[in-house]
Amino acid sequence: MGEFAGLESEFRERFRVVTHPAMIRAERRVTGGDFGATSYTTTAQADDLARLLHLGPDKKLLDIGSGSGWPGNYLAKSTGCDTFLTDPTWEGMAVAAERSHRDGLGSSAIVAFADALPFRDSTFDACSSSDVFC
Amino acid sequence: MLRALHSALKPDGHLGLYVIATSEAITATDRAQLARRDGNDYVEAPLPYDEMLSQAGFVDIDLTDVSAEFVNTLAGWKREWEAEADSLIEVFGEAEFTRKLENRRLDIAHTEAGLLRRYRVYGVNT
Repeated sequence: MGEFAGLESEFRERFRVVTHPAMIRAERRVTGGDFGATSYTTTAQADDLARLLHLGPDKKLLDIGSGSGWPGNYLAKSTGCDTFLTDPTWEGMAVAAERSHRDGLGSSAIVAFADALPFRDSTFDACSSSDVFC
Repeated sequence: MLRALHSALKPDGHLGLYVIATSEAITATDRAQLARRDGNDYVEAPLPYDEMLSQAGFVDIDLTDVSAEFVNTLAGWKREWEAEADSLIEVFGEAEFTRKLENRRLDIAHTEAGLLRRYRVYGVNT
């Protein structure tokens, strides 16, 4: 969490602009998505994760460092899984929650750090993350 | 962090991550500069990912190098941001937009030089 503190304003600034029409147009052409992400994970790679993680309507997915909801909201939409999105930034989770509501995905968007998750043990069938762990 | 995910997952639960790793060839100074510039994307991992997953309680671990796709995606972002330059300069300001494009160029160069690698990491919880 300490490492995040110095970067907090930079991450928050990212989510201020991710839903700008020019950003969404670029995102569609690069990743194939339109979730307000500037991710390196393409739609094809997200589909690969869905296959690896055996996602489906009866599965509960934890997506760590979801930012604006990519790929978690996409995986909820494409597989029907019950998705819990987490990110340290309120701004990112607000974008993710709005998209989940708009698309009727039912994803839960929770402000949390990955090393202090507010869930009981043995809750999830699968966990995904995109370029958060290093 | 991986231990927290080990706890949150059910036994036999699946973990799938995309991660960016720095090569051992990159200097500590360069690594620190990358981390400052791009946030946690490029902070050094203390151990290889397969070892970290194993220590955290995962089995059936698989690491797949997706660096070639990473370069394509980076190049795509650079190309598409250049195509949207007029709009994005209004969003970011010219100096910040130029800095972001230059960062993309550096990311591509670093990955093509083998200093950055991107992996798909998979494991099954015990």
